[in-house]
Amino acid sequence: MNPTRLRRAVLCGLLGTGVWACGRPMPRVQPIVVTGDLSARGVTAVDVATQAQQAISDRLAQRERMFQDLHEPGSLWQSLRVEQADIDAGLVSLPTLIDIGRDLFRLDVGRAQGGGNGLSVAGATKGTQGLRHVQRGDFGGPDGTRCAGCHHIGGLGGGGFRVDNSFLDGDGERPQTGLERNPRSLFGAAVIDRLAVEMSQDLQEQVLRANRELKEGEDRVLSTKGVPFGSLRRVKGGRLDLSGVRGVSLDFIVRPFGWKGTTASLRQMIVSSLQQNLGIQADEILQRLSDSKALGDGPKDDPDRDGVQHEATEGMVTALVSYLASLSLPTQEPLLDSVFALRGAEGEAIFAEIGCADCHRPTLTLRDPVMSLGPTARSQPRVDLSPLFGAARNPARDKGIEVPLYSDLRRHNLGDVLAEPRSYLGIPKTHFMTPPLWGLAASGPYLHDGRAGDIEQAILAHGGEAAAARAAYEKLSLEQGGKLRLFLISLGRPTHLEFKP
Amino acid sequence: MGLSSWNNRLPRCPLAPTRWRPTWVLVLVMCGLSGCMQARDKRRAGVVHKGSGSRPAAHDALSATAVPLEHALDLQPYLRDLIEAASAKRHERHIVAYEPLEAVTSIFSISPPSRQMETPDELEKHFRGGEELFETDLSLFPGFGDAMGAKQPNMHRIHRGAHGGPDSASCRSCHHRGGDDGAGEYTEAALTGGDGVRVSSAAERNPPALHGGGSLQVLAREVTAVLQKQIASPGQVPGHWYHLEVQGTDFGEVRFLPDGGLDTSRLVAIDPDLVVRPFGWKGTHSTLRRFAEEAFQVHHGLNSTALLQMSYLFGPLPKDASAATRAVRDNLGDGPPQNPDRDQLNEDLRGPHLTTMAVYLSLLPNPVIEPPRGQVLLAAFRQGLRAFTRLGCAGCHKPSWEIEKPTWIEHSEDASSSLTIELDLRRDIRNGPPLRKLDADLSTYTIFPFSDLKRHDMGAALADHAGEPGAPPPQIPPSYFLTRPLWGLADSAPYLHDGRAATLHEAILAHGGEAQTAQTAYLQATVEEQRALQVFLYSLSRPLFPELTP
Repeated sequence: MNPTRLRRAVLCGLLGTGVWACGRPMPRVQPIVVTGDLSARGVTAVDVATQAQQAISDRLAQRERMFQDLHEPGSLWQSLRVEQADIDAGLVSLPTLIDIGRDLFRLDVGRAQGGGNGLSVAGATKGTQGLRHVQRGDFGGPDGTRCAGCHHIGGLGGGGFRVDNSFLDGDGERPQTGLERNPRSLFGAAVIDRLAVEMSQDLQEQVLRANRELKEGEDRVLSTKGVPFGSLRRVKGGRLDLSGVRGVSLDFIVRPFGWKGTTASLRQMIVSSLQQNLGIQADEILQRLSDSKALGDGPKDDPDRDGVQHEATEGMVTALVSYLASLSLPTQEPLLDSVFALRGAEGEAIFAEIGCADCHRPTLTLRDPVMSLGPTARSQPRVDLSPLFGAARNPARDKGIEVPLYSDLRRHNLGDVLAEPRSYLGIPKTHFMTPPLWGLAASGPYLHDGRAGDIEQAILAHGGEAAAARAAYEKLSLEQGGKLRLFLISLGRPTHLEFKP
Repeated sequence: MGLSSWNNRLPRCPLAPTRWRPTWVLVLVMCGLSGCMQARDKRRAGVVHKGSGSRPAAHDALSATAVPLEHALDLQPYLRDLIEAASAKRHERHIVAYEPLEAVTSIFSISPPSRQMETPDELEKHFRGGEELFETDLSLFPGFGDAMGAKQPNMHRIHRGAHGGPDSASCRSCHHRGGDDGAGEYTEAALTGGDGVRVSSAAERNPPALHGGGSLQVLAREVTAVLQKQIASPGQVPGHWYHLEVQGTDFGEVRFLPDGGLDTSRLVAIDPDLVVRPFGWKGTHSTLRRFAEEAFQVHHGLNSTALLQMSYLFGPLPKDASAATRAVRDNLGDGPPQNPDRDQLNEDLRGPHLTTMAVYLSLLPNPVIEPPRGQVLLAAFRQGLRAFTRLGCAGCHKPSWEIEKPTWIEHSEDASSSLTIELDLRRDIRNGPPLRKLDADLSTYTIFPFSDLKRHDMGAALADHAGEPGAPPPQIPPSYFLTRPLWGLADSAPYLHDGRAATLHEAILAHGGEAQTAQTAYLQATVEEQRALQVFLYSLSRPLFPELTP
């Protein structure tokens, strides 16, 4: 790649991730409101009576809203149609926004809300929404009726079962034409979003600096947060050789979402899932893809021809982001049995020893926990995510927060066993993003297509760059393997009481 | 704040009676708040009707006195049980992670599981064992799936005829909407009877919620017995058409032939063997055992000893088996008789496993009726309740049934075990804590399933493109479906057999055939009445108990 094109790519990247600071002071920041029980570090520690009371009141209130909506159709959805302008003007409080987001997350969308599509193409299954079980190209299914339908294991916002799998980019009819994708847990997604932004920023600065400083024949290693991303080299003729870059696309944007690392931000992920899985065409996706026919051949304001315009406002997407950002983070739950506790601790050592921790990095350091949950870096609400970390928060703010993610947020070659029939969005068929292991106990089944029912099956499917670690695992004694798995299963989520979605 | 005080903080149902007797609570939790609303002057004590011959009107049945759920429940023991179970499950997870093989072996050991907590109560043991089977990831088990033409487990999202997928790894994968044992999402529809490749070759089946199955099973047995008795009574005149009726529900006509045979050509609502089958969208199974057996086979590739024996010994089908069971038996696989699906195990499931699962399903609570609380909505609810009868919905969605003897015996059906489990719905059903403590001395048992347990022609628009997938002839015609019990409806969207209706309004409009008149009446009703009807329908809910997660 020549230097000019490179600069342009990186510049676009910087603008895309919104990391170029503006001169003006940033708007106010408020602490995130955490939903779910933070203090729970074991079932016995939960104040269950209070939670039960809260859960029942919430449930009755939600039922009352549903009754009201049947009595006065559309009233519920109308109450959720929040505008970004109102949020920016401070008219919608953060707790309200989170409540709206929760409702948006768990409510079914029907034709009246813009769910599904009105395109007349063969292969859609019955019903008025034109849903289909296998997605068709970029357009998607839509293959579901609500977010919670596929994100529910371990509580609202969790992962999905194998039967919830999406078949991406298929022919709309035969599952084997699609790429099978198991729904991922969304706990901690906002934190992951921030980590990725910081990593992108680092990498892009390093690349720009290398482009200025590197002399012919020189190499420079790329690395952020201790994670290596290959190297750059200035070759003869002044060209910067990018063939040594590893684990990230050549625009140097770290994309932590999607099993193959295809989406850069939580917001983008929500917007594209609304399109592909629910058939909700958010205003921002219409703006972004206004020239394309990918969203349907209908008029500009209703490409999917379902007769509904403005299916999701920017504010509604912000509400969804806010809700997901508020979910309590996965934790390491103590092994109550003392023998098991000992074994688990040894398992953690084995995890590092045999090389699992090389990719599943136990922690990444988050420098700046402040983020905007809105469409731009300056949008409201701007929140400080550090309350999510509770007691685990490092009091010395300058040193940042250790996020126990168990991922390096980069792509690796996983070998032939996991390989797919074809590449996806230019990412080779054997390459996948290292999935974070936090919350693993509540997120089975495992791997991109959910093929692994337990930890052992998941480990044994590793190959490629992970082949050595897998071989080391296979050589472990029965007892040692047990300890490792015991450690992994302790990566869970606080137990809490709720009405399941 | 303590548990004792939270009761008082919740809004009261304005129409709740000021005094109530504990014995009524049994009815309450079954019928929820049903109907205090209808006409308070018609109020009667507890149970409304006795005997199987009378014809209970919907209004009467729904006017049973009730109190709000939160007044009747003592949550403390329920929460204690929840926490105990959660701790046990967590410990279980740790054991499974540490010693996977041993854990899996023990779940599928010949005498089924009771590892969670030692308990002397045989029934409780089976309930917990069944819950564990329900939640376990079955893909860890060597008998999971098949190895016919591809490596085990050979998953197929689209079923291969009556053989099935396998398409999922646990029961709870598709039964979780609204909570444990609930319904399934649109995403989770089973694609049954297909070619294994194309979505369009398959018949979609939306996973139904599982609550109340124990009551339906007992009711079906009783209704079947009454029907059988009617044709068995002496002095029948050959050539004369005899009318079959149970509790006011018309089951068609039969005629004795001169040779002693039975002419069932005018029976369409139920099978010619006069067995009522309340399970499956088309009414294909009479017991939870057969229902679970088919589910294990088609969704998880786990074939039962009973199915195998029927298959390779060409033994007779069990008495309660149906054409659907026969279809599954005949499509276990192309392998040798002992192991037709060519996987690592010959017999994937034994009799006791099915017993445990059947007992678990039998003991799940019945759905409730929980009306709205606001005055305006409550008025709409009452209007909707009247509309339900006025528009003719109650004609097929029969609100209530009487059960004479609410007990059930689950037999093992296995040569290796003579295990039988006896249960009494009045005493044993798991409705959370309160029912267990109640004095269960009620002479009859009323349930509110909102179904007549018959099959009806629903019209061409709702018809499958084939009959019941994989079933041998005579198939249930494509447009015939069992009247869906409406209890628990609020938590079971999307609606109809293939989940095509996202809203209640769409679901009602999709009714045709025998329901055409009622559908037309609905269309001609005022908007206000249409909406009121939906408000009423949404009050049919699963029991409102919070659950621990994950």
